[in-house]
Amino acid sequence: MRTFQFVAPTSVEATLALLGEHGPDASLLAGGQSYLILLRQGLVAPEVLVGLRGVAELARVERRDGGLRLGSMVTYRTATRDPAVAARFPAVAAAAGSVGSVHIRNRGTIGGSLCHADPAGDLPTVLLTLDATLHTVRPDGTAAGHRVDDFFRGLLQTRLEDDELLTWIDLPEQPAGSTFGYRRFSYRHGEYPMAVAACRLDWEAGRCAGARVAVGGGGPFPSRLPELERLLEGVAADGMAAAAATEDPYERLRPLADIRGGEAWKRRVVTKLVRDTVADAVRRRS
Amino acid sequence: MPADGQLLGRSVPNVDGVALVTGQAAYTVDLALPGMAHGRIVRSPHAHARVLAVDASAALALPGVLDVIVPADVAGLPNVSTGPLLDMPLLAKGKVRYAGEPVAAVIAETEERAAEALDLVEVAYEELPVLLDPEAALAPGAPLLHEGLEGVEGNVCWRQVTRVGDVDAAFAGADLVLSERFRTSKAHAMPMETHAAVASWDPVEGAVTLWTSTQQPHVVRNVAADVLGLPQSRVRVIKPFVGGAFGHKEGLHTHEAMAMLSARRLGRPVRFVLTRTEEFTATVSRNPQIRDVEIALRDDGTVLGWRERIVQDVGAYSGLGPSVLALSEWVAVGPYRTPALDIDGVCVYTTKPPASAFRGFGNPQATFAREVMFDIAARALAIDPLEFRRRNVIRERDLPTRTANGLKLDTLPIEQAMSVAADAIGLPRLRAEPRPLRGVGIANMIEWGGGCRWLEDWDSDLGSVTVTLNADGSAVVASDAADSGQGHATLFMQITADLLGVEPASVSVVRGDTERSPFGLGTFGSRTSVAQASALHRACAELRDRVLEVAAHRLEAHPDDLVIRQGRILIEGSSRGLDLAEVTGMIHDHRASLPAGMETSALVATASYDTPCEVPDARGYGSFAANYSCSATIAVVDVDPDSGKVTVVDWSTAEDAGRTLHPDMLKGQVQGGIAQGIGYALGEDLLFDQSGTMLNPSMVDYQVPTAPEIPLMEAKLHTLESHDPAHPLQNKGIGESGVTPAAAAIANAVHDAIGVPVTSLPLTPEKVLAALDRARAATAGAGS
Amino acid sequence: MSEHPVTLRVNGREQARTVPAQRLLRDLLRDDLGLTGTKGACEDGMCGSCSVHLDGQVVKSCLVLAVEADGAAVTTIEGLATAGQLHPVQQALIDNFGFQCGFCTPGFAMTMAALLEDEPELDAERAREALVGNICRCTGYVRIVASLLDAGRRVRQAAAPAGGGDDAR
Repeated sequence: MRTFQFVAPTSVEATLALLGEHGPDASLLAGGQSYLILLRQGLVAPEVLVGLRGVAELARVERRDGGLRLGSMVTYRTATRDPAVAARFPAVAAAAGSVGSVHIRNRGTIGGSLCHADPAGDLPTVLLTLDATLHTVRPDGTAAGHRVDDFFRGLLQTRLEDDELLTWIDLPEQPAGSTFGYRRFSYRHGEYPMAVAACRLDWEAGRCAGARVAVGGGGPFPSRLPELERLLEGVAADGMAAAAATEDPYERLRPLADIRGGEAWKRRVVTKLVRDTVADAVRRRS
Repeated sequence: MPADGQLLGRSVPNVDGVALVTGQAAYTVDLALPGMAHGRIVRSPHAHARVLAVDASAALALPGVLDVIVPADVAGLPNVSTGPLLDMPLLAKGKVRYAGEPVAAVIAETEERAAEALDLVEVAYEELPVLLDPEAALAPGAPLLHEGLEGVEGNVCWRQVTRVGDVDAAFAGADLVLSERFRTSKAHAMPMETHAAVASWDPVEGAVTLWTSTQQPHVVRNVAADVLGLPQSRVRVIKPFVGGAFGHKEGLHTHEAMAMLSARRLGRPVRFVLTRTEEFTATVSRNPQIRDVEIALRDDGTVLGWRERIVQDVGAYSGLGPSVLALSEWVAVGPYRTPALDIDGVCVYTTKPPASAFRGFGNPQATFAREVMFDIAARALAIDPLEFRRRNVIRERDLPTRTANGLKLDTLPIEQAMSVAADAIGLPRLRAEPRPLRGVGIANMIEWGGGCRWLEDWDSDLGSVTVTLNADGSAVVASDAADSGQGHATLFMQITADLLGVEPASVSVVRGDTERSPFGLGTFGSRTSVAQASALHRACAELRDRVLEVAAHRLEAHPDDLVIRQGRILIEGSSRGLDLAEVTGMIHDHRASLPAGMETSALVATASYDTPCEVPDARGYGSFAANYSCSATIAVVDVDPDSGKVTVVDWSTAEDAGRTLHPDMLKGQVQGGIAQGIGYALGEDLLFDQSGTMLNPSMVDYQVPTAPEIPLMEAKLHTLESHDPAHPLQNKGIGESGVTPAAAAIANAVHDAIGVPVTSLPLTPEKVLAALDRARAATAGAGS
Repeated sequence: MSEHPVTLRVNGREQARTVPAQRLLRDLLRDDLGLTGTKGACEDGMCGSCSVHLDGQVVKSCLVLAVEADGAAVTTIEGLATAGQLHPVQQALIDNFGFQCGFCTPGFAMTMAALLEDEPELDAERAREALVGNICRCTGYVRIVASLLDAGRRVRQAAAPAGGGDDAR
């Protein structure tokens, strides 16, 4: 592991100043639970590493109307324990509670998870179903609110620029009566998930008024399934299972084959996971 | 031997407990010697290549690099091996045969600097064709890994034939003959502590001390002496606490040799610690086997004959592969009365890391093939799998007996084990209330332990102990045994306290030090609780006789009327006696108190135990091990219909341990073995790409079970007492018992759940789902 | 430039060292402070043998840079027992034979101690799940889980209002 300089700012302002000063030589360190492995394996080699743990303003959970504003440095631990998260966004609390182990959850952060962009990341997949907005700011003052749908671009790649700091994630109030689903499949307990499925179903008069279905592990990055969402819209609750059973929306999934299994097998697993997740959300209606 | 058993048979606290739970126990990697330098091994990136040149100049030029050892430095040294074929050089001699093979060693001031220097050692390779498939390695014209080695033909380095009984008649007279191919995987022991060694050179004495994570301090000492050109008296090997071994830490390793050589060259202590990646890529693994089986059956399920052809993939160097193959054939019969066996196996070289010993030593592979074949046979004959086994097992009334290939059985409570295991798991209820895709699988096994012999030339199977009784009645026990978590210190304390009557807290056990312990082969093959324990028994007996002779003289009694209990020597049935400490004191320093003609002396006894085994003959007939135990295991699994993922939901095992010396430590061995067996069944396998590069050399991608995957099986693990008359403590070595039948039980449970057998390990979800698809298609095709 | 002064409170004692930025907390503890009870057994943050408490929370010390812990309080296995008395999880591990080779044991003990603070009522199912981040190769986990549950009972008994005098141990 090559050496580098470590700095620990205590404000967003100071963080941006460092990013401005060092440009692409600087990298941001959130929870470190994924980043430290990349560092130790020599896959990343920053000149300057900016540790964000001391920036208290990034670690807050704020209620905003019926939604939440989560600081990018909110840990999985906080997300599982904060009553507002559990009450308003149970899928987020569930996903945060499933990641890794207690050690990982004590240090790992929501923002870190989003920026790391694991192809089957639990939090990224869940946030895709919640109309989340990811707020960023750059040293020149440019602020942006990225839709989570646009955020993931490739394998471990997001749309963030080198000097763009993710500050907070806005989760808007979800439609009244909407239900959620969240499941994960790992090849073995305790390792990174092979597949994650999440959904939010909106309801009106016993029919699905809108669906957001996201899958992690169906390709190089977590993404929604718009074809499936269209198929589910307008369907009555007792017809949802049949609608989700259509083959077509899943055909375009391209899970990455690896030592755990080939693309075809993984697609079957992901497909079933999505269907089960939708079924969970249908059941939660009552 | 009167009056033993106060501590033996009880779950006394582990004497290492406080040291281990407080983190105070020192492992090799925890040692820091003043001036210690750090070494790393330069390893071949190629699976098969000629080594044309090794240039260390750039590495030596890096500040902080102290030394580089290249093949030319050690070219004259003999090859090493844990097995009969001395085919492995310490550093590559002109050729590398697996990706990860040691080519050079760099030593630097810091670990980081040594790692940097690795890339600076320039090695010129000429790549050769890679050979990954053992059957391809058998084909004419296959690239040859070794040339000019005696006993090696092509890529075949060993052939083992076991042929007993009239096999041809058995098959000719059978009502049904079935055949099947079984494949097992290249699993890795993955002990939590990686290999580590620290060497220190004493220029005044001209002697080297090596601290190392090993199972065989004396063997390492003797081979190291050869390598260093020193007498054995000038090589000392010390074994600190060892964080797991399981067969993985036997014999002399390259990094140990490099540590000693560089310590002598530099005049500074040198440490080598293997990374986890190196553990996977460059240390030994279980021998994968292809077993083509034919079984001859009568309609009533009687197994008349058994035929196997085995291709065992030993990797680049043979190690203990030949021994694994031999023993794998000799236990293939299992705890059954099968009268005719025809087993023919070969060890084949491939360009992969060497396979050698790993817990079970060929028995997991043999048991997998046999027990899964038995279930296939049972179903073909429409006989319940448990009933099928009942019709074939060795029965209580048959004992004592020998198996068809001569394994000598005095006790083997396999019938009882099956009943106990079936009761414990609630088999009747499981059968009465089946659930979709839930399966129940049974596997019986015979396990060997306590010591073994397998080759005429290897005519010793020693364990040794020195017991010292001090003047104050305290005792020191020093043995060649090498604990890596089995709890030897506790066991030896129990034995010594019971047999010598010393205060348990006063027993001090030396942890593995060739300077303080007598020679023996160390710990492997479930031998220590029989081999070294029996030696300890002998040594204690000798000291006991001497102590009682003096005590009898003092008490004016006969030695046979005396007992020693908790530090007190008593005339049995009376309260008249002496403190042990008084007597030991007299023996040390008061001649007048001793019987006429007896001199004062130290109280030290050294005893060895050479386990009483037969080397099987050319047919493979002979009782090669010191003892045989058995078990019946029943696994309950759920198969996920959409992913094929197998979850183990329940488990019962009835284990024959002979006499139980420590109930909780015994259970710990069985439970740990079962967990390793679950891993072996469900996912553990080292995988390679086409260039011979390992794909999964990390704990992320090499899948060992975690806590949620192991059922809480405590209540369903039973031990059966069957006192083995062959050894003084009447116990049986059981260290490998948990793992041996586990994969077979799980495979049979999956077969039960999905209706088709899966005959290769591991039972990955993808593989099981494909089998389930075949089963569904077959059912659909059959019309209902 | 890359050498950083760090000050930590380790097992109650102030420790100041200067380390390169890439030094892992685990290696600071083991190599710079000689606290070798914390182990390292993998390269991927998988095994849990490096577990320590950082500002009261259990973490994998190989996934924390020493510089990140500047100003923090760290408890290692050497600091788990207090005033000469073993922590309930340590005593439970001994009483339930929850170890064999012991290499993973410090990591488990630190994790178990933290779990009992978070979830003193955890049951067998939850205990198995909660230990997923620690790998053991010797025991098969059965006795480790039993130790955690036993320790939970002891902790709850000790916290209960005074009843039978010698419950709490």
